[in-house]
Amino acid sequence: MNIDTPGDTIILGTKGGLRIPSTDCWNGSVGGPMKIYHEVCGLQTETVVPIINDHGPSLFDRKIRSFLDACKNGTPAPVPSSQIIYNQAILDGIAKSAKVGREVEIVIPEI
Amino acid sequence: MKQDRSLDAYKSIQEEKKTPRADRKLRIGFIGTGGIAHAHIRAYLHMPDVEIVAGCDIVPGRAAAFFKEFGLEGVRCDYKDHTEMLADPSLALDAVSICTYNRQHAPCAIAALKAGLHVLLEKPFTVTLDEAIEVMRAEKESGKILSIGFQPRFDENMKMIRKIVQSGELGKVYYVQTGGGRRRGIPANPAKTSFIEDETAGVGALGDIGCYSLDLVLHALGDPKPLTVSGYVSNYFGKDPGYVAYRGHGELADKFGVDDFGAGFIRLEGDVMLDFRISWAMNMDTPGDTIILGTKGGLRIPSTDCWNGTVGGPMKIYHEVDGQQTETVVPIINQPVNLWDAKIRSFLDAIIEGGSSPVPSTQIIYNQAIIDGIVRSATIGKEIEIEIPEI
Ligand SMILES: NC(=O)c1ccc[n+]([C@@H]2O[C@H](COP(=O)([O-])OP(=O)(O)OC[C@H]3O[C@@H](n4cnc5c(N)ncnc54)[C@H](O)[C@@H]3O)[C@@H](O)[C@H]2O)c1
Repeated sequence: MNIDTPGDTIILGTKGGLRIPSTDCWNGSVGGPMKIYHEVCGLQTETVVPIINDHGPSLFDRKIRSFLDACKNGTPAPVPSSQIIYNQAILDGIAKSAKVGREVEIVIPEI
Repeated sequence: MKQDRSLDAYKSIQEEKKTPRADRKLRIGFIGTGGIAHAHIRAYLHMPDVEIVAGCDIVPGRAAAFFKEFGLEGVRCDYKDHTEMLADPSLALDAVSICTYNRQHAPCAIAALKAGLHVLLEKPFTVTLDEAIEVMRAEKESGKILSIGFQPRFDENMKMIRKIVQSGELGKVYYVQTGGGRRRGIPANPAKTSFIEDETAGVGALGDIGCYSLDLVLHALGDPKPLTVSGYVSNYFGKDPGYVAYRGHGELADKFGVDDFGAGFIRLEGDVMLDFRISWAMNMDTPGDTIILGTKGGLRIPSTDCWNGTVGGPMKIYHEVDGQQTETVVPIINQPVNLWDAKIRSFLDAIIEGGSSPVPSTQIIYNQAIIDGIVRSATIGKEIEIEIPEI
């Protein structure tokens, strides 16, 4: 696109709002400190949520490890399809809606 | 949208300067003499070819006090409402400024047009799309000028945004994000609740400030017709008796009957998607800048604290030069223009010259259709189609 970013991720709630800075390419990493906008004793305040410096194994090692552990131990999937189906439904819905030029309803059958 | 048009085509628009004709004074009346009527009257008082002859307000004594404030003792204002004033032939009015709260826009505009008067109607156009259509029918029947009070139209920076888009500088525009608003800014206090009560306002942040962001982008794009709207509204802050800016006046929460936040996803004619959000209160500084994405360039207009029809700082165009990603800063134009004078003058000139309306209903109807569409869509929780009948 012809712009640097279409904007930060913001999550608005009745008690607080969270701003997650957009990175160059939004790819599953947090680009910098986040901020919570909220009231303290009636005063508008901003609380910085610092970046956590994680020195553990790489994300890919963890992804594979969690999968192997679930296979070995018979525990639930670490990133289960029952969650990601909604992600897929949105991607699919955007494509379908863009094609027909109107809103589409998402129907997921009982599985 | 007109593509690849030279910027020169717009120079003439900027330069037009009219000399008022003082040979006959236009006879002006006021309907509603509350807050914003003050801005109207100050501008009229700058115009040599105007005589303010009458005014009315449904609150007894308010109109008289208003004209006294400006040292205008001779103005007729002993009317109980607009109907009585419009029925007085001795006034020989040419035009009225309608400065009533939103719910009283349509009834007063229709009555004034039917009385054969030119009308300058405050924004938002109306509360509902149906009302706006009724006003347009009355306008058509009367053949009079109806101009809607969007003074940002006369701002040189706003004009620049339209010039950039219309010049083809951005190529084909396909996605627009706009809106903004305030963190804590519900316009209400115990002495003034006309913006937050359903019976007077009918619509909240959407109509109060949302209409400005919508006009900015719609007009820049050449006033495309909205086709569908998926909308959302909420009122979590307005309905909270402990809302900090009520300063202990929790009763305002009971009176609050409109939206304090609204959002919409709007399909515009010409395959453009418009993503819009507006706030009187939210837990955030800003929902982001206005961005206009095109195939050749992207425009970023910095959001201001309160999105109210001003450009908050230099804009930026993101584009390629020789395959290189570049950013071109469009500086703020420091203009000597008094927007209120320009708004009133444009209305008067249209009357004098028998010209077309400076801010015509045929454009603002789309603004109203979106606001109305967001409210309707939010109510049913589904996308709605916008239908505007032949008028
Ligand atoms: N263009 C701008 O910058 C701008 C700024 C503020 C407000 N406005 C618009 O102006 C309108 C009025 O806002 P305000 O702040 O002046 O509100 P307000 O409540 O102070 O004034 C409205 C007045 O209209 C009177 N009124 C209502 N119905 C009437 C009728 N039928 N006949 C005669 N009088 C009647 C009310 O008694 C009141 O005095 C709103 O629609 C608002 O959106 C525009």
